Amino acid sequence: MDNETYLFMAFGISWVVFAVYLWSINNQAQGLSEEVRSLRDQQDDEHQ
Amino acid sequence: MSPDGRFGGSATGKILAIGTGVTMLIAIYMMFLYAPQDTMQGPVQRVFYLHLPLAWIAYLAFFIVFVASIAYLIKRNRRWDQLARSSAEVGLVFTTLVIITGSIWGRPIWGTFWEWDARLTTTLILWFIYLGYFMVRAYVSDQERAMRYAAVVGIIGFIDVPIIHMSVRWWRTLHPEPIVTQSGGPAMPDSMLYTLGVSLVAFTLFFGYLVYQKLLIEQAKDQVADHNLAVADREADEAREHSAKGATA
Amino acid sequence: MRNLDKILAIVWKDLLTEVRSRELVVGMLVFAMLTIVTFNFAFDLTGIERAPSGAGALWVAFIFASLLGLGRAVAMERDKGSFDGLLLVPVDRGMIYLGKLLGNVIFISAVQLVTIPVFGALFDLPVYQPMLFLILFLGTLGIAGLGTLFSIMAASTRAREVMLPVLLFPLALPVVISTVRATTLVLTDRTEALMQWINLLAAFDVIFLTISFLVFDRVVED
Repeated sequence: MDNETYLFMAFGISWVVFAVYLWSINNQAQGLSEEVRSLRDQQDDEHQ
Repeated sequence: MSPDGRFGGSATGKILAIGTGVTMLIAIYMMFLYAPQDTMQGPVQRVFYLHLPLAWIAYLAFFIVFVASIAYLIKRNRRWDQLARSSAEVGLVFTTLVIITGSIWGRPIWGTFWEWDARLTTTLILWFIYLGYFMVRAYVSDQERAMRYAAVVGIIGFIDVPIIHMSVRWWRTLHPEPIVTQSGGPAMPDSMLYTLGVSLVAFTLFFGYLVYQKLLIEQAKDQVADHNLAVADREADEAREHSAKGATA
Repeated sequence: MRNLDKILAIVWKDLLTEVRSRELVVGMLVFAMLTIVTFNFAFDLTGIERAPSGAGALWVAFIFASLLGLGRAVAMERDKGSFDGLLLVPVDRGMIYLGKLLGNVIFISAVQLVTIPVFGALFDLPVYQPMLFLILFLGTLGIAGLGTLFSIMAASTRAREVMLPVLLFPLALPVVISTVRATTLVLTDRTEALMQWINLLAAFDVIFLTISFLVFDRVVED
């Protein structure tokens, strides 16, 4: 493999890792906000 | 977390996200088009603009873990632990990439993916230390105890970094001497230095964004756990009252 | 009671328990011997280059034996509930750490004192040197210093047997590197760089013992 291939390999892997990590953070945030919303609804129901 | 229960809606998050986006685009332009080709190493030298900022910020991340861990052990405020675990996670991701990008750069330059030199070995050990940090968290059932233990590992782990580096360095070294921090000014053209500077700013903002998002998630997780615990407690109390009533009746 | 008396009381209790049960030292010793013998099949330990490999094999044996002993000591105390009792005694927690540390150093040193002559005879290496015993002591102090702290931490985690090496190996690496280096230099009779490594090792010991001493009461509080 030539020199340039290694350059793109390094950048390619890094961007893939960043993308996967951002996606996982987003997923966690979404899952949690849904959980918080359902808990809040539950609480409101109890108060009524 | 904003009042409507959504993440990322806050001003801080938005500023960090936009700042990261803009500086990252400029950094990428500079890395590939503005910075001159290195005469010795060829195109692969450009990995350095990615590798070096990641490495510096990984150390910064573990420094934050160190400070937050000390603060947690003194103040016992859960917020410090939330900061420590957020920073440690992003630091571990960055360290992983430091090792990967370094190895890929090493293949055409050194002719091998791995050399047991001081910086590489230190980084690898660092990676294992923070892996242990998360294993401690995962394997301790009691939350408060997990935070204390993790803080201990976070403190000893960071103090260990320069010590490991020194001992491995005495043992053997091959890594190119740091050219940025050399005395008498860095031995590289200004354009390369500017590129590195912009890249460092971009990745620092990116790091800030990731830690901030992670922090919000960890805070929400703890709140949900608190809530579930409170509900479980209340249900247990109600059940006890119920059975007590049954007994008197 | 002065602090030293308190430390010695803790050590004395551990030694008595061990003399009665002989559960720790014998197991560690057999394990260390077997490791050294096994290494003979993995590396060529008969040639001229046997000193560096031998020093490595010796310390791998000692580290694994220490891990075994440290884990076992805490597990035994946990089974009997005697550690919780110790924490109830109105003694400064730092003194408990020093007592436990001293006990562990004594147990590991006992294993070393028996293993070293056998190691020297098996591989024909000059082991009877005062410097080697200094290195053994400093290396043991460093490993036991962190090991005492981590073994107590690991005991209250779910995967106990896994957590102790996962924490101890990377964090104690500076001690391991400098002891193995210093041991190699002693065994090959190259004394010019030796003092450098011994000083480094002593400095690591001071750092690790100080931090462990400082954080110990945060680890055991309940």
